[in-house]
Amino acid sequence: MSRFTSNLVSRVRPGHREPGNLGFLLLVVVAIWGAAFMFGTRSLVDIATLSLIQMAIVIGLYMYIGESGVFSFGHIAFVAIGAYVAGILCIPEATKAVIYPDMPGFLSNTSTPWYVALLAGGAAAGILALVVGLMTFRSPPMNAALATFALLLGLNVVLEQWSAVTNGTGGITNIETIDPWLALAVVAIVITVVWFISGTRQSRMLRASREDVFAARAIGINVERLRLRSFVSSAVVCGLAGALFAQTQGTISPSLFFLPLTLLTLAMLVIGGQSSLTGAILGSVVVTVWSEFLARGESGDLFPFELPASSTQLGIGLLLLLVLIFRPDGLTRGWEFLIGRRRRGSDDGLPPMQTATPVSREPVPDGGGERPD
Amino acid sequence: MDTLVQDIISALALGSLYAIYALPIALLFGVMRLINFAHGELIMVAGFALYLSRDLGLASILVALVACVVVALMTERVAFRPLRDANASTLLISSFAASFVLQNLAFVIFGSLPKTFSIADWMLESVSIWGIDVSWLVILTIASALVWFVLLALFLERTTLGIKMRAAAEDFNMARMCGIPANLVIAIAFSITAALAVTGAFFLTMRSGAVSPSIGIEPVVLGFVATVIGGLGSLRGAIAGAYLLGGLTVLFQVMLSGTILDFRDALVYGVVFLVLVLRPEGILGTATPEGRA
Repeated sequence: MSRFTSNLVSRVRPGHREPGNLGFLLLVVVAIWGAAFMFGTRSLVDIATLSLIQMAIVIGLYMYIGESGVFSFGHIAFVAIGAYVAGILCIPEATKAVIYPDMPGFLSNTSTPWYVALLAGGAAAGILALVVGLMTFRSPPMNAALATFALLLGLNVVLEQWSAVTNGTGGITNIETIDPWLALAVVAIVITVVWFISGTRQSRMLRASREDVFAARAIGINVERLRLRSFVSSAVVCGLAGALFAQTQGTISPSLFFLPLTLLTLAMLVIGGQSSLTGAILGSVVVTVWSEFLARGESGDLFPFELPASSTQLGIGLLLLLVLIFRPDGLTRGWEFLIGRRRRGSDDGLPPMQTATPVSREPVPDGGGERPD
Repeated sequence: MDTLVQDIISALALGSLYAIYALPIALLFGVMRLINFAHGELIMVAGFALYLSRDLGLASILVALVACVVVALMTERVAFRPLRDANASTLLISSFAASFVLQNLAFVIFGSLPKTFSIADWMLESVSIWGIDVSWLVILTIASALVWFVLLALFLERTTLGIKMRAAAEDFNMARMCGIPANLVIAIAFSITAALAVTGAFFLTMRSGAVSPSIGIEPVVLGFVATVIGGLGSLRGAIAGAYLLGGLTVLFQVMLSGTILDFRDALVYGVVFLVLVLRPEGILGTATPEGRA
């Protein structure tokens, strides 16, 4: 890559050159969840486990939406695939024969260790994403986003109707569960890998295309190929998160992987700030705390009165709307948390490059629904 | 022969209903690049307004209209106006959020149990035309859709405001620079979608006999599907897509059986996926590739 190219890529956003401080991110996640697992009551451990998995989904979303700037409304389909593949593989054989006698072929007598099922879940999601991505990656971003949404709607029908394998709307139960600590370890590894990937040259080029797709193309960045690459890798992360979901909850059903989870995880990403890994993690923490606060209010533990049912969902929707209106780049505004580095300005002696804020002025190529300013 | 005619009539009725769901989505996409998933919640609001004022008989439609226009304008003011310059995906997320808020507000206020009611029982009775039994509901659904097509065509072709709206759909910023009041055009567009939501809610609740907070999800997804099949942003495409969807639904119902019927909706979404990827201008090619009206 020419010097000019690397300059542009590294100056994409002042203070944004590095993908944040890995040690700090990991420390925060492991400390919060470790404390919850160690000292928490049973219900707190359950809440913490679920939120950990939601965080993994949001990190998966960040890998594609955050780095490429293209939205996807169907990533929960990959979570569902991961969950079902891992879930079916993790039912003990004896149970399987009794509860799911209709399960076809090799599925009926296969059960694997949790880590094999976990990897299978991620791989299945990755393969589906590769097939979908190869079909959509040349489409305008808006069409690709809506096509993934159609994928989610269609997959939901399949999960509900393909009773022999998925047990229909009732879902799959009796999945062998794993210790929350194992889930924490897996998520920590996922964060490390995602952090590593977002430091690679390809990821920087992708982020450059997010900031200015025309300039990125002009210097020879193959935007579509990079988007496809990040689409597949983010789907793998989502599939792993889905597998962890099945393995920690023990029960899955189609309605768990549909519009509410789509909105919840997108809300976490947008609230935290979609263009940084810190934002993805922060957003999932903030939304979890906020929704737990409201849930306590609903059950009457918090206030002298009870908040009406559904207040939690209402509160999440309102928070998302407020952030979209008043802080459209999210709480972190695209900043990564850096320790021991200058957060502003560039150290190559050049003045900071003026960049448009991604949400309001991000250029979208050919008919992606963007109106020229 | 009779069953064939019956099937065609039910396909037309279903297509008309889908067109009433799809037109608002196509209209707002044309004017402001917004795929308004909160439209389902306008239908829900209209449904509850009809339910609350059910004792007024058909006058409850007016109550629903007022309520729905107010909510539509409020949604626009709160969720969409601050983001008008944002890209389509951000608007879409905002419409998801607005839809989520309104739906959960309804859960908070009305609870999750469906409320059964019927405004006009006589509509469920059938009349015999040339030996074929048709319910008034079916006749009125088809008729009101046709009335809407004519009204919208007259509005967009013959009135100044309609021409301004088409100009805004063509190039929003250019239209603004030529002195077209953006807020007015968008407010009118939202009011039209509110009126369409009331029409849709009326026939939907008459068919199902009940209203619940989640009633709006299916119509908005159907409307979205019809709009995509017809080509995003084209009103004619949306209508054609809606009748195509209605026809296919009835056709699948008649022709397919058992397992395949269970997966019917998955097939439909598969078609949507392929259209979006391979033919973004719609199956009929009525929309230009950029999705302009």
